[in-house]
Amino acid sequence: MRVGCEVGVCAAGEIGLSRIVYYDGVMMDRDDSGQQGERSPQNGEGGTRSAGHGDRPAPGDTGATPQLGAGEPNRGRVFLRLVIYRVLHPLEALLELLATVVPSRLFVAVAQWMARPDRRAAARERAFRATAEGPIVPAGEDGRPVVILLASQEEGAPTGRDTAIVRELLSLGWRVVRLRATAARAGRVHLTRDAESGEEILWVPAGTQWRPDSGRLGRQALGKMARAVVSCANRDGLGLGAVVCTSGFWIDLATVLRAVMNWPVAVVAHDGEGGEDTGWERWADLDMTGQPLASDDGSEPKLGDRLKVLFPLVSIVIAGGDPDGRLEQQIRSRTHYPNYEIVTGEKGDPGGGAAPTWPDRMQGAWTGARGELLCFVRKPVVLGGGWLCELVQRMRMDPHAGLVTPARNTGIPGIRTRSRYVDLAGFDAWVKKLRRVSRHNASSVPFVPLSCFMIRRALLEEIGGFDRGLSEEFLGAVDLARRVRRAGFDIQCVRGSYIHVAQLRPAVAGVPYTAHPAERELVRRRYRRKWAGRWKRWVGHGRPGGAVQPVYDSADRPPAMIAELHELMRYRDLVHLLTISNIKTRYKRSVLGVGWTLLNPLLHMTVLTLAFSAVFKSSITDYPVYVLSGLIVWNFFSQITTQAMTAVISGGNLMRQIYIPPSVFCVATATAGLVNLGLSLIPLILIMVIMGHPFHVALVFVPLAVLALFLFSLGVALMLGTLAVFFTDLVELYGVLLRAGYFLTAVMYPITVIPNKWRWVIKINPVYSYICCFRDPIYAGTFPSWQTFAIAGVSGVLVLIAGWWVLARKAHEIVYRT
Amino acid sequence: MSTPVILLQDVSVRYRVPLERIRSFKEFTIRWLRRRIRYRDYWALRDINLEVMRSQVVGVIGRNGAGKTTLLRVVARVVHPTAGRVRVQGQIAPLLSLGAGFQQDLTGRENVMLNGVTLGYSRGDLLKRIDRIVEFAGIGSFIDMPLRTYSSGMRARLGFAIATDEMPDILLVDEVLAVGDAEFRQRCEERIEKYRQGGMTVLIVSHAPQLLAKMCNRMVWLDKGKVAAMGSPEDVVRQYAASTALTVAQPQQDLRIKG
Repeated sequence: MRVGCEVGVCAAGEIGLSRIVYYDGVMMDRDDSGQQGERSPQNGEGGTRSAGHGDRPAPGDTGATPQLGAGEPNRGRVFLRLVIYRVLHPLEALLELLATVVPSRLFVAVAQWMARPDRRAAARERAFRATAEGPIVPAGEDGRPVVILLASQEEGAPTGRDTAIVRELLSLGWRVVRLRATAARAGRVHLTRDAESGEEILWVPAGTQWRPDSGRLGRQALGKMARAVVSCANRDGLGLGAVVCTSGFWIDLATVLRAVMNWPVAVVAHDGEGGEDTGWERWADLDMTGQPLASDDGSEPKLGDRLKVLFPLVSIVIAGGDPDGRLEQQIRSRTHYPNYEIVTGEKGDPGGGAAPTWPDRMQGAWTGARGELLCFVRKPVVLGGGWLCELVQRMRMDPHAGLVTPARNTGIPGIRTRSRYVDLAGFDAWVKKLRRVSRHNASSVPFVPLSCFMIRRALLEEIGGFDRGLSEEFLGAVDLARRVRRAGFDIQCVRGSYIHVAQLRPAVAGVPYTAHPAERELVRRRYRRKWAGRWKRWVGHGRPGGAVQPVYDSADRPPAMIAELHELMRYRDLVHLLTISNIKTRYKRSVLGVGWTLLNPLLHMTVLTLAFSAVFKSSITDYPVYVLSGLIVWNFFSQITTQAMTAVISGGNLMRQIYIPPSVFCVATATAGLVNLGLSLIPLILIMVIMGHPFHVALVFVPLAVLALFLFSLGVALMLGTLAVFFTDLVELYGVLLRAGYFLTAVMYPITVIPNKWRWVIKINPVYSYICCFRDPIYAGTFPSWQTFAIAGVSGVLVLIAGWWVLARKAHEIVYRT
Repeated sequence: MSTPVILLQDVSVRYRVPLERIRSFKEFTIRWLRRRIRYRDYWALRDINLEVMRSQVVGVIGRNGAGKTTLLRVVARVVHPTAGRVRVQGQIAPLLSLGAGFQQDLTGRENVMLNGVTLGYSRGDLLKRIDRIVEFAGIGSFIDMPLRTYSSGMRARLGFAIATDEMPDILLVDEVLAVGDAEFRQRCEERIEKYRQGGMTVLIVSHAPQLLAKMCNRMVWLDKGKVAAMGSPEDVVRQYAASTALTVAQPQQDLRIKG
């Protein structure tokens, strides 16, 4: 038997079907044999249209206990999936476990620690403080906001004050759930409704541990209560709730609920019982952004008003058009969230008779939205129960989440990923099941699914809305995602909110927009132009002329080490020019000029040869070659490290006038040193020719040795340059150390003159390994041993990383200290 | 739905002045181990909130040590704020001091390259524009002489010419237009006016409020690191004048702190 009719129009109970197959606008039954049928609403025989009661079917009607997967062969898969969820997302399980084994005081402390405000996020939160507070819109029988009331009494009639609070909340249109204990110890957690007062009561089996007279909840009772409330909230879809605590006795439980469920907590009247040391004053009565609730005139705000602030207004924006109103009906019938409005906006007509493109329609859709959060929804989408609450919850929990999306239906047994038909009751049941295990889990995703996403309004305004130039959906979505991330926010997929999106889109999405191929090419080119600028901004010159203006945002920086590297790349031309000017200005006014670079090591060598050649005559032949090759390495190292210190200190003068990354000075000094090293090879070759010293094949190793030496010296230079800014004495101190190091490095004597016992002093000196790497191919004509080169290479890389880390960490402070 | 070009949110800048002078590493280590380092915090800026839209001209006035220059440095990203968020959209030409980083021994041409690269231009770009820069600076054949032979006016002209040769999105000016002769100053003002029409945003700092009021369409009065007043030039200048008239007889305490 098949019946086609409008969705959301008939309540499931009316047709009397146990299972309903649902797809946007089409509701059908499905035989138990699993055979599927399709029929459009236009020609479906027996189609019933009754637009009158378009409300969400009551939970009992859609099968509160659906027989999921009964008789189907995938029960094992179901179990496996649950196990995987348990293992992968053990947070909730861990908390539940903690509740039973850890003393209550410690458990509360852990819960508080988990709910601590993120300090670094505080500034960002302030930036997006709630601006608009809309009135709560009562949304039908079951859409009312839930208040868990933790009242003071255990048994018997509620006190007068609690009754007054219940009455006030009910009159304001809230749904009140009061926590009470049942005497039956083996009884299960369940909800009942008090027909007289209209409040609901959540019965929790009380153990012997629950002793209000002790002034504090026992640890087992605390864990049991917390689990009871959480599981009830999950099972019965209470969704986003608020906790009202009217007694100090319950503060512990409120703390746990706040930490586990992230429910806002309002303490109505603290009667001084227990809980003094839980520090509840710090977080009670805070709104979504962590601001204390207060009314305008400074008086004590009313409870109803206080709770309203805790639920930010969400504007649900129907983006793709909804001519037949079915999407709106679906939203109204499947949204539990208490404070939302539905916005259809304008058509987004660009004028001039052109058809509105995708960004035109999106941009037009949210005109007139008042909410602090905007949720874009478009056909064809099937919203899982409780979808909106979970999204809002995510936004509330994580101020870094700028754009959140529900999870797409992937792999729910019985519903194919892109199926046009959805077993609605089964889908809901699965959503509930999945939510139980993966609640509060979210992961960063690279892409914005356009069927349904929620974005902070302030963020969308800041990034300038949708780019009207990118009329192709795919590029538009990528563009949006990149801009959200550039603004410093995260895009997250919320596991706990689920939607199903069918594959066939154009047939239902109203008038599809198909661009001419030439226009598509234009759009693509535009996109490339737009984002090419960003790449250039990081690695090249983001000068005017690019499509994207360079942005400097002190709150949105990559990690310090990477940021410094980016800046160095941007200023590589400056490194080039500073290197040249460094070499030029050094001997600018001298007669010989650059000739001194050649002459200096020669003279030094001559002095050493005259002094020592007689001493080492027997052990070293061609002493000048030996000493000059060592000198070149040592001079390079000492020159770079000493000059880097003065370069950064004197560069501070410049850095106070204009932004320059401090690493530029060190790197420019090092490259200038490299040029000097290259020049000083000329006298070395000259001496080798004169002395008749043979040239060996091993010389090919020299560049590698120089590279390792360069890395090491640059690392030391970066470290010293940074430290010298803070301790000027270091310049003098290092001079002394360097002189000592000169004699300890075996530059002018062979290591064999040192007694065997003391050779390790020389060998632990990393500079000595560089001298070996450099001198062995030139003087001895052998490749250095692989151990020596390994020490040289590894220590070079490590020292460079360490030096870079020191500089990047202190980069901001250098300006303050010079 | 326009976003501010310059956005400052709760920006604070703290200079730490150690009470004892510690300049050696040994002394630092000893004192650090004994937890004896004492600082005096000096807040140059405190919780500044400012939004500047495109093509606005915003003037900043205040007494010595009120944090005016620090504000410009924060926007020019020279100083990283101790707290708060700075967001600047667009190319900045910081005229905090003209010709920053000029080297005495290099020629004018080499200095143009060096200074231009420091400002963030690429070398190839500068090579194409160097003639225009020299022409605007009006230093003629001096361009191939070492910079130490230049007069201070020539240096300032060269510095201004490099920084403003191409229209920047944001111009930061710190009293630098007081240098140079009257003819050059007029040319500077003409150029700034032309760029302003083209949509350039200007943030300008000065001690002379009356002069500033003529140029700006918004003014900020900083006092001891905080925004004392913000709004139309007439209002701010009136309030500022009133406060200086009141306090001129009293000893100015903040001057001592800065020194």
